Amino acid sequence: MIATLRAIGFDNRLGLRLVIASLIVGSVLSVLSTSAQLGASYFRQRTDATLVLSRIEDTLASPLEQAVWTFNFDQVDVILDGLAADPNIAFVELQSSTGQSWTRGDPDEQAATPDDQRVYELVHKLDNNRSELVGVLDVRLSLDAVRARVWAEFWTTFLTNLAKAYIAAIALLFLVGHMVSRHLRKIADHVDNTNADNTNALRLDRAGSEKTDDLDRIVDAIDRFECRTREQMDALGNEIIDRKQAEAEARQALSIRSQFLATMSHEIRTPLNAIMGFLHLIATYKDIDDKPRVYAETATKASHQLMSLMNNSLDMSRIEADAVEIKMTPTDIHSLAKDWHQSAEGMRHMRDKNIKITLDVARDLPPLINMDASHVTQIVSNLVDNAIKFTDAGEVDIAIKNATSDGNPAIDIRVSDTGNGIPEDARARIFERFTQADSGMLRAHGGSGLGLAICSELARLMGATLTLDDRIRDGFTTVFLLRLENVALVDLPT
Amino acid sequence: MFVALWVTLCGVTATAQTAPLLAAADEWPPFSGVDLPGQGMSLDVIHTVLTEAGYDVTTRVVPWARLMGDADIGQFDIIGSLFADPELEEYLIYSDPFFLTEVRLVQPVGETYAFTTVADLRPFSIAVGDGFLYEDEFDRATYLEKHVVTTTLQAIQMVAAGRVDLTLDSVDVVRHTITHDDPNLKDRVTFADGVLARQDIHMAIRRDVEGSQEIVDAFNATLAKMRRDGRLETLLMRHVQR
Ligand SMILES: Nc1ncnc2c1ncn2[C@@H]1O[C@H](COP(=O)(O)OP(=O)(O)OP(=O)(O)O)[C@@H](O)[C@H]1O
Ligand SMILES: [Mg+2]
Repeated sequence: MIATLRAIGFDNRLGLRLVIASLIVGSVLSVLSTSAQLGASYFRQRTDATLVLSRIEDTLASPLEQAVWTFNFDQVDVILDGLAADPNIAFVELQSSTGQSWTRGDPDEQAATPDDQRVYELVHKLDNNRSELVGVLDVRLSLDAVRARVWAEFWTTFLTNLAKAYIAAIALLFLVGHMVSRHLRKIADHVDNTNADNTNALRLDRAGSEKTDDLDRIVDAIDRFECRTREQMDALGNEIIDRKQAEAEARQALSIRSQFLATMSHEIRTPLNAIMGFLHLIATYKDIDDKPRVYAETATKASHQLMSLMNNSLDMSRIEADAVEIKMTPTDIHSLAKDWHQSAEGMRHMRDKNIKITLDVARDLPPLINMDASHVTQIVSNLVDNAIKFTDAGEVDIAIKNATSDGNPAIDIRVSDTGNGIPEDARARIFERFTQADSGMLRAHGGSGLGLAICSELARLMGATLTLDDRIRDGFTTVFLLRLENVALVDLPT
Repeated sequence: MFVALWVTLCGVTATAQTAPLLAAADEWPPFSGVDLPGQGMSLDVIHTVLTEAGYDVTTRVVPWARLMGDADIGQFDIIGSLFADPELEEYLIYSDPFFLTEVRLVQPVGETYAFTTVADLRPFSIAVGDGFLYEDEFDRATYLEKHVVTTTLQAIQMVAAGRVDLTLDSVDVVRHTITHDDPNLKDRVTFADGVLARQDIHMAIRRDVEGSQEIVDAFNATLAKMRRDGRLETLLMRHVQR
């Protein structure tokens, strides 16, 4: 059933809408045309019906008069019966001058308001130019029969017209399905299935014609559109290839640079280490004068600065080349903190500062903390180096405490000092590269201004944050806070 | 020869007694008519007389055209209600008459016309029945203004309504028509003086009916007997007023 309906196109919504529209128009037109047709038919039949009255005048009046004249009432009956047999004659009455009367039909019903009425005087002509009125014939016409017939005719004609409209509509549905819809569907399928791999040209299954119609224009437009799209896609593909090549080249350049830096730093560090070793030997040599010793010590300091600059540059370039590898491992923070303290003492000694280094590790810290110990150590070392560097008297403190960040456990590492502090206007910039709070101090302390930038980058890579702590602790002028977040605190196996 | 005749006569008698004679007349009241007692005077007399004479008779009223047409081809044996007509004697044997009727003119009451000759009727319009035979000279008189009607009643009504001056018919027919069809006419028309014709009413039998002459003879004999003993008069008075 459904297959049959589909076969004649009933699943064709567009066609159906078209058919329904054509049916509505067809029905209206068939009502109008039927009405016009039957209006004409009604007037014709009415004229015909009225003709009966003149026919009575012409053909029946004379025999009727003769029959009445000769008292031939049988004949009168015959004639009146014949007259009454006409469906349009509703009522006939004959009144003879000798007192007889005949009626046919029902005077009450339709004939009370007849559509037409005629009264005939039946006059008998005598030879000697005299004449005698023998009767009066009253005929009343009712067009009810005509109207009923026209009505019946209306329905027949209307239904026939309607049936024709329906048949035409179904044929139209089929034709629209065959001539338009299936092509539209094919166009839709084609557009749906077209991609870079499937570039078959759109061809409709229809007889070729000299003149192009709308479907031909659609097909041409789609062909042209696909052509343009292909061209643009080709261009885009070429551009992508170019970009990929450029990217590869850039990456290669970057890796070459890193390689270069690594090689260079290694190549520089080896002789530098030798220089520093010999300078150390010279400085500690017993038999030399004070003057060369001071020279050697100055050269040693310069070498250390060179080495630090080298290391910082190398670190920075590693960070830029995404070459930094973060390794989280369970770490014993207590022993690590002791190491930091020792190396801080070493730095103080090296910088020859008369300051106190204190370590404050909270008792409730978990024994093992999941963290990248080497990079955290690098950051702390940098901070401590700065603290010692910028503090001439007083104290440098390393404090480690439990903390929570957004409800998660964290570890706060603070490095504080009692130095001259960081000016308000410089605080925002000190984490940028090559930035130093007071350029005048550069001469006094040396340094590249990369230290904090590297620290902050490393912290970021570890998922930690490095900030200047605004809440200055008692006596300290500068407090750096390294908060290790997302640290899984590992309990010792019991 | 005599033996043969005798045998034939016996045969006829035997046949007559087994197969009834079929007597017919046209609708012509009071002489014959479907609704009349004894189907009218003629058929009543024919039936009574022939039954008395020992014949088995069936009577029937049929239209005139059928009566004459069928007389030709032998459907009916006996025809009743006939005026004597020489042309028909070729086929038919007439019996003695059993009734005499007068043909007279009918005029509106108040008119005083008296019939003299047919030619004197020239100034008058006269209603005549279609195909009716009245009297030879009158029937042939084409110079008269005759208005042909279908029935005697019509003709009398036309006279009463003044549409024609006169009509004419057997007085028995006129009386019967007025009495039975329209008694009002009794006060409106009257017979004119003078008799146009006197017509005898006969029975007629087809010549080719076996023993036709014998039947006619038997009829005549019985009729004469009934006339003598007064039974005929009684029978006739059932049908006509005098
Ligand atoms: N503890 C501190 N007290 C005062 N100023 C500080 C302190 N730490 C850093 N600063 C300021 O921040 C600047 C940037 O420090 P950073 O460590 O990045 O560079 P540097 O120490 O000058 O050089 P480098 O570390 O590369 O040898 C310093 O030059 C200094 O002015
Ligand atoms: Mg520094």
